[in-house]
Amino acid sequence: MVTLIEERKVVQTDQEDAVTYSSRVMRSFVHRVAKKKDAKVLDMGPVSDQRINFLIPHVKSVFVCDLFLQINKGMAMPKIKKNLDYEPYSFDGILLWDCLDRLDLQETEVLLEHCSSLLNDGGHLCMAAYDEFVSNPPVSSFCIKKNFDVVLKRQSHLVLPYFHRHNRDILHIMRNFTLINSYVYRSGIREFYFRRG
Amino acid sequence: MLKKNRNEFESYPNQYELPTNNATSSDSSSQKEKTVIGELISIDGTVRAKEDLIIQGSLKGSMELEKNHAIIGPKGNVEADIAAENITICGKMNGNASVKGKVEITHEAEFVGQIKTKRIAIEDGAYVKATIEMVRDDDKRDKQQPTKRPMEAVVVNKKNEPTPAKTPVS
Repeated sequence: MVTLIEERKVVQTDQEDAVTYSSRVMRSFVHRVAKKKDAKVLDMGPVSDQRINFLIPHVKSVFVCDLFLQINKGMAMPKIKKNLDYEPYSFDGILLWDCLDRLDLQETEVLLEHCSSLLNDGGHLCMAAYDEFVSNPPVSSFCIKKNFDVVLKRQSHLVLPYFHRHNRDILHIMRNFTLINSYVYRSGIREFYFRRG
Repeated sequence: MLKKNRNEFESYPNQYELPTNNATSSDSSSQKEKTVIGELISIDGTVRAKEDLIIQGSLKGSMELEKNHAIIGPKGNVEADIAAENITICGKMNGNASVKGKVEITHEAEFVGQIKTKRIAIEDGAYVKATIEMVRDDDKRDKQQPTKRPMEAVVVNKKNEPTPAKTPVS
């Protein structure tokens, strides 16, 4: 497992300081997925038009299904899973972002099993997590800009529980996937890049 | 009820304003009349229009506004395939949107379906379950490529030729 630390950058936005970092996982993900003809990517949200506009030139289609809003509405995992009603082996890549930080262990296991069924053989899965325990961290969407710079944009309409997990716990729950890379940034974000199988 | 009333359109919040990316078209479009399908109206079938349309009621079927703007208001409920120049979704829509210009989805919107567009803007808080494909100008690219590439190849070949100037001149 490769761990790499980057310098923290803080940019001033209209309302608050936003954490930014240059995403090496997204760089790898885009380069690998873009090689496939008619690549399809599933993004679990929170929906960001900046991210969609960034991804769309590299793939044939971006599928968006906002799990964060569904969790915020109090939907149970069976119903969330029902909303992810895509055909098996539909996707070349899935972007989970920090969705697992917002689900308990049981829900996480169900979601990951479903993700595994949606991915092609050798399909890619990216996720993020806070590096250290933070008390009630705000929900943010990961907006991708030029040069794979990621800006965390606060989603004040979402109030979700938070489950912090150490690396070993994440690797355990992701045991059905193969770890390709993981990075920890000084901004306090960890990124993991997995492959199905 | 169906209304052709500029005043009613203008009484809505700013989110209903037409896109201003093209100054000439926005100037002319602001003078256009807009038809409002009111809250108490349900339409089942195909709607074809040559003017902008605001839907506050419900619509099932399809909608064709090739050069115009479709707006689904906060109380609008649309289960239809829509082809339009621009679409603004503030209410509920289930269907496919084929748009030449821009799709805007506001924070109170719920969209389920497929979007084909050149540009998309989604406000935080909008529920979106969608397949998004970008419309690309492939025809223009195909026409440009054959003329550009051979020229680049010629330049590269010239650069790769051995250049006597590199050897030191005594």
